[in-house]
Amino acid sequence: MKSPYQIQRRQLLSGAACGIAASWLPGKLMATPAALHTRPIPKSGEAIPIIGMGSWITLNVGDDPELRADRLKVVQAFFDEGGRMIDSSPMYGSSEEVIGWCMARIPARERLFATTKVWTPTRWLGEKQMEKSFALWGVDRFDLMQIHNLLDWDAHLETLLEWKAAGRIRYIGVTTSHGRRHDDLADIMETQPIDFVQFTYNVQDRAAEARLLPLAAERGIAVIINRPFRGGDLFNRVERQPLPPWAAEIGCANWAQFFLKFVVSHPTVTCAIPATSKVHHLLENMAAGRGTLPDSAMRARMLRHLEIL
Amino acid sequence: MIPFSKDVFLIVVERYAAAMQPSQVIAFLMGCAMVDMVRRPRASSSRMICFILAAAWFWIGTVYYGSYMAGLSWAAWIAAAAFILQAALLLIFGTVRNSMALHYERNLTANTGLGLMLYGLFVYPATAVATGIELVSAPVIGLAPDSTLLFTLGVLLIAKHRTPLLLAVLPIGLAAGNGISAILIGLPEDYIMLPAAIAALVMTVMKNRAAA
Repeated sequence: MKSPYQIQRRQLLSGAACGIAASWLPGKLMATPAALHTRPIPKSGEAIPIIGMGSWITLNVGDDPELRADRLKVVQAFFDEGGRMIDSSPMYGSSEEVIGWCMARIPARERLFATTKVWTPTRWLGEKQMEKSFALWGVDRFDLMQIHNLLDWDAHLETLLEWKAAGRIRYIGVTTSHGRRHDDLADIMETQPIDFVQFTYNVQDRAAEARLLPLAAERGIAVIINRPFRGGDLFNRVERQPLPPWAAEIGCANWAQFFLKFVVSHPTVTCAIPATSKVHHLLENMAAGRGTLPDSAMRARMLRHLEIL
Repeated sequence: MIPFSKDVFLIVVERYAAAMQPSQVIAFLMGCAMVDMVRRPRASSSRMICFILAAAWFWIGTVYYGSYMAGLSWAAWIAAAAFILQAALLLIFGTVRNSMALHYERNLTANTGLGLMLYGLFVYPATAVATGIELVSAPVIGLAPDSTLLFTLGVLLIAKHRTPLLLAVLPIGLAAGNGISAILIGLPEDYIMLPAAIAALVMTVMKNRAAA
């Protein structure tokens, strides 16, 4: 869980760099940021930006009008920056409702890559839950519907395949997080006709490199990465540590971009979904999807540097 | 895996407290009356205490969890059900069957019970006020879950002879759960919940064994 202290630290670490950048960037450039890098969804070739937005905790603000107005600015900034994929789940409290509320106020519905999950036992309850998600988001079609944490996945997969055939959803996925149940997920990837997988991958949690990422590449499955900052823990790890000077070679102005560029530069990763409730953090995150991405040598250097820290 | 931030949680709690005003004053006075009934028991005072506590548990289950917190977390529905169930148990065992004699007697268990009652009634709301919450919005027993949990644990320890285990399971379990949640989201004023739950569990078991 992200604490206010972590936010302050991160702000401190990145604030100076952002300020310097903002002072010399031409106004026009700041107003119209360069396009985000995109990656194709292997099953269709459709390209999506490599930085999306998660909603765990950050968009769960209930019906408080001030908090909703605050989060609306974050979602607006996400689309202004060229973002498309917003990921949520019925597990995330009011997040789906808040997303729907925001989308009703932002003229970006056609750009939204609506991504949520089914998270309940039994096929019947799953159908009810997904119907509710349609209503909460205010959409009549989901771009991606995922089975959350593999819960009753075989029952839900039947529904998802039917709904995909009927055009109610475009892609099917399965998720896990925190490095759990990789073997089960790999079995599903090997045997089921899914389009996406979502799991945790970051500079510290790299178990997915051993099997899940190569398997996704082999099977042509798009990969969404959750917890790219390890729930904020990575900022603790680099607290008070300056970015190495060579991070500028890959366009990193702060640690958030360092961590995100590492994740999205893996050739099999389609998209990372950092979550934030702050516009300035969102801008940092989105900037990680532009400019130079680290090659394999640079990725190894990034890891070596963090090991030294 | 708590799906909301501390800031959002505190805002919801603040809105609930604001909506409840000025019920806090009445709830606080009811709490004082229950302490007085425990110290100076009268006919039917045990039944009356259980009835008031049952009403408090029912209110918190339906309004606080069922209405205010349910939007933030699916787990609020479980808490709501638990509070409503405990209200029913208090009503059945405490008021209808009168299976507890809530008379304070000077011994370690009853002293701990009285301490928890007073902590829930005075110290817990005062701690919240000290952290910046307005006095009129203080989390008093009967309206706020944690002060009510502490107070209820205290009442159960004061019960002479055996405490019906069915009445103790939910308060102890919920206090432990809330204590762990407080640690996870960083609410120091609620850290007391976990040790209170452990103390209540140990003392209830010891008390019931001694009474067997």
